[in-house]
Amino acid sequence: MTNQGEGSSQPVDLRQHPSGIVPTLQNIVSTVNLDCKLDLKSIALQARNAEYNPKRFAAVIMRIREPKTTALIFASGKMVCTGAKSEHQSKLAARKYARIIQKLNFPAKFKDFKIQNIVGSCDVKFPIRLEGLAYAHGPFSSYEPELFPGLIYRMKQPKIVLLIFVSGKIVLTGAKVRDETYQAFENIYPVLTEFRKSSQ
Amino acid sequence: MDICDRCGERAVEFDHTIDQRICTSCGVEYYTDVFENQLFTADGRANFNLIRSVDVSQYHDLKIYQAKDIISDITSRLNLSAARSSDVVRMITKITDGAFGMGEWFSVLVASSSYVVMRQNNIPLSIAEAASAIGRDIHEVGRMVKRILDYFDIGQLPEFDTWRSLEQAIVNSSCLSSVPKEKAEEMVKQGKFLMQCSVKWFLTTGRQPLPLVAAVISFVSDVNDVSVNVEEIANEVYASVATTKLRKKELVKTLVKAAKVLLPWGENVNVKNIVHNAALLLRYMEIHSTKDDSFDLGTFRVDVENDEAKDSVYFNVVGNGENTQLGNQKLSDVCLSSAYGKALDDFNRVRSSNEFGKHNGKRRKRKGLVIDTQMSCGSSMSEPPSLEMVLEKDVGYSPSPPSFVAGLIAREKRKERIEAAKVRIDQITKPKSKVEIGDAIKTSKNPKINGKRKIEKEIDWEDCIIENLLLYKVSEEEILQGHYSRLMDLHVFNSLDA
Repeated sequence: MTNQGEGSSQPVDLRQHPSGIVPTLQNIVSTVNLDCKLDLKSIALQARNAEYNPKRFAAVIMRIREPKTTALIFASGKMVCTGAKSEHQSKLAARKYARIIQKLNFPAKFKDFKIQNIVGSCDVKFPIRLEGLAYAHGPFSSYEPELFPGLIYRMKQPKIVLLIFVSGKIVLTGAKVRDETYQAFENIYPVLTEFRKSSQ
Repeated sequence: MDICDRCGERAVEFDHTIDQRICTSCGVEYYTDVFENQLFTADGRANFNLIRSVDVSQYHDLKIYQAKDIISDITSRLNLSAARSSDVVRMITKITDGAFGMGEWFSVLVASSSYVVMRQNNIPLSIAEAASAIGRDIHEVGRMVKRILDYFDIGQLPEFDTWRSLEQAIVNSSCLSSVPKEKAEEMVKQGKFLMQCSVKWFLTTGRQPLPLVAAVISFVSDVNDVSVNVEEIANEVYASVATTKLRKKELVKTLVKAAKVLLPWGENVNVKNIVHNAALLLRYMEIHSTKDDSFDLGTFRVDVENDEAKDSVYFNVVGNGENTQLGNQKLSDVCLSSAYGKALDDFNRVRSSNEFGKHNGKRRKRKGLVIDTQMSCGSSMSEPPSLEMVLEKDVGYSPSPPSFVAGLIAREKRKERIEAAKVRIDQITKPKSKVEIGDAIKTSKNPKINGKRKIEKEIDWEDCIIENLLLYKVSEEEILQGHYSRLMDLHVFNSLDA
């Protein structure tokens, strides 16, 4: 069982993570308002790391390498930053994008930065009987193997969606802060142990 | 007679009983004649309200008529009974507030409603079949199904009934139409039992059910010497051919593993000869699952061993030491005559018990080997068993899900790569002494020193990444998870954070 903290070699705090497993953050989506109208065509022509195809998508897609992220920059001045692996990286990346826009002679500001979604994942290291879980937790579960191989578990508190796979791999999405992800996993872990494959 | 605007037939007549013109072909009523003299007011201006009411009424009727036509067409294509079709109409009426609809989305709604109605009634209809009936993508139908379930607050539908689906597929299959009824029944029984085993062995969990149904049918056909193409079966049950082949391969591999555990000669069973052992294996697992002790292959194993020991007595060489030399063996006359005599006795005993030739001489007569491979699950379980019942059954073999096993293997491989990377790092950080280097050069100049040439395994991108992460002091546990991209972002390409 993993005894490693998020992105570090620190031992797990069992008071915060009684399961002994800490979900790892895979993607952070944040938004920020640059508070100025933008000429997307001009940005696309001036910036090397930008692509703009108005027929396909009405935003400039810009990428940077450190932190390795992608931003969607809209003409209204709103920006979405995706791909960061931590909240800090996400904010840092958003600031870098804002700075790039400023350098292209737009009066960009950095208003209302907000983490919109945190995606985490972990492995419970035992197989899960999805049929049984779907049956027992029907109101929260959606399991339709014809459409998707995982069980979609919509937790009410915290309001997190979990994708649970037979291999024991779990994906948690919909959190605004990482503690929600951790809390959701600690809530679901005892349920998963109920439906683990019984060894014979 | 005028031409009908809707059906194009020259069948519009005036019906005196209702004082309206109707089309005798499609039944649409034409109101225009009634309103014609009222389309303009007394002073000659157009009465737009009336004109509009005429158009709306006609459009509405036409829409409902066509919608019902579409519903009956799609439900008949999906083989829904009249009662189920009326359920579909009721469902759509409620969803659309009686307005029904036109356009491509409506056929998706009808197919999705049909699917929901059938699944609610435990009748096997797959999304793939529903989507195929209207020529749309399964995910489009799936999204509509989700919306219908949310609208009616239905929650989780009953599980797809693979039992009935398999039975229907075998009975209605055109490829299996020439199979005798008894054989088809046996195939259904074997298939049903295999489906239960597949549930227990996690071969169905998180997987589309129809490719597995096709794979099971293909396998039981092979077991029963019925020549059927896997592509034909897959197409008949609306399953992807590639996925069906994959599932069959997976099923065969799992059965081989089960045979290795359960059959005394399991070590000799492989993917090529599993077909010949499958009937016996399935029968054994079925009996094992019913906890019937009368059938025990363990005793057969002992019998075989005893018989083999008895047989070997025939070759016990009596005489002096030189006859015991290998390659120089000779049997004494006494021994040979006793062996022949015993064989003759055995033969007479078998013939007198009328068992000789009972199995066309293919099976050797041994205690415990006279096994009836006819499955019995069909008679005792005409209804599909519940998940609990299936899971409670002990067929003697209980593997982990293939994806879980694949995860473990991947983890082990990563572990090996980490160890190799550590060795490479050590070689660089702790260079060999001059003496060791000299030895190494000598060895490299004479690679065939031990008769074997050491071929150093080439390192690939994954080795390089692992080596890099180790150098950045990333914990091994994190590397074992295999999320290299995330780790590279967090630890390697993160100079700004530092």
